[in-house]
Amino acid sequence: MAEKDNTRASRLTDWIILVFVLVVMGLLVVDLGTNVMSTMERDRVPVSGK
Amino acid sequence: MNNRRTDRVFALGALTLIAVVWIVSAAREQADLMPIVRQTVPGAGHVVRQDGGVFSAWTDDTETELLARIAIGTGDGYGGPLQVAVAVDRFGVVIGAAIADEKETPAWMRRVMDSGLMSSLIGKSYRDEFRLGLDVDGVTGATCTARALADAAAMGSREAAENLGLPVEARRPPKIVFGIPEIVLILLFAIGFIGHQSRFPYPKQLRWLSMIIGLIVLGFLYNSPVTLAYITKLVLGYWPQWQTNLYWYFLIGGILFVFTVDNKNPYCQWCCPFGAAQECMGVIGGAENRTPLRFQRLLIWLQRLLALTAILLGVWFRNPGVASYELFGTLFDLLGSSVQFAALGLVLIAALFVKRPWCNYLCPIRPVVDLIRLTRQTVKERWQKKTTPAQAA
Repeated sequence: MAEKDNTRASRLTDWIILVFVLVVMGLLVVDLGTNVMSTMERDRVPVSGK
Repeated sequence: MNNRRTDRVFALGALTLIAVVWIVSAAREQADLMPIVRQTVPGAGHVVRQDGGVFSAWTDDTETELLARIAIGTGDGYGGPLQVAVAVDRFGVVIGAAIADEKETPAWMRRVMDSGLMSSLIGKSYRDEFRLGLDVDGVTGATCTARALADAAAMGSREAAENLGLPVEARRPPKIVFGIPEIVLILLFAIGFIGHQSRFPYPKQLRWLSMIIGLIVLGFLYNSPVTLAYITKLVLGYWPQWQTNLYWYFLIGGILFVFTVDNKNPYCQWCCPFGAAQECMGVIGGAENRTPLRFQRLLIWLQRLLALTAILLGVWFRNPGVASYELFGTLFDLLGSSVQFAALGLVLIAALFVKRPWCNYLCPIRPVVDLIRLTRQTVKERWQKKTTPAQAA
């Protein structure tokens, strides 16, 4: 019984880690995408004394 | 196909892909400078390029009244060379400036552009030193980018003034920057070397000492951990000026040297400030090493795929700053988007229960370390295979 509980707990931990990684990775991909978009749309900001 | 063979095939594929993207992106890099140069003197009716890459801005195409000479100056930015087009009038005073090219992380560049730095360049003489915080406005949290911009503006103004025939002093070689971060880095490598000796009796205590120093100095004080941008910079061949970038050379050179000679990673487990922050959280929460056996290979490959994608993007845009998705600045400088803060929060919470979740599943440096290790191993095996029969004969 205890062994079964351990297996279940370990399976649950595996899933929690996978979900955690996928969520954070999703956020990082969004961040990377934002960087790429900013680079593509970057406007050169001029400064003039006039 | 066994795991090692798969790793080798994919490593070769990844390197080939990076090489192909490198070549293609290099071919399309040539930017047209004229529109940027025109932005520096909006009132000019006629702008022409002269020999030596300097531009002249005239009131009209009769070329009777010169408004400005414009030159492109270069500084060493975080992600590579940062170029600024600087317009100076006939007295050598800056009347306009515009970014011609840069490879910075967009958030940092935005910070600099939103500051008063660009405006503070106006009215400066080519004789000024363009020192941050003294001659021109400094920018908190983006010092490297701001310094590169000021250096580029200084260089551009001098070049334009020289072209106007004004007396320009010979440029002094830059001062060698060797300060606390460089000293601490050497100290940390030395501690790591001692700690890795099998005879040393207190490796655990020494590792904690090294991590705490790394966390405080390389993390919170100077925010200068190894990032993917450093690696992409290397791939793109952007070698910064050694006098002002000794830290970069020590860090990358030291890691590669120790790896090649000793096959040990002197950085991640011993000095990485973000790793240390996670371990501190782990002490609070009683974190354990948890390896999700069921998904182990999947997680390794996801981590590698994300790192490869970031490197390819950095190479494609010839901009190492794009490739950086680490959360280091978010923690150590408290700078970042809401998405980055959300990701950082999740990582720190996870670090309470799982040892180093960022390092194990998300950090882009780990796949790079794996690749170096695999390359070293493959070269060594091939070398041994080649020399052993010869020795036997």
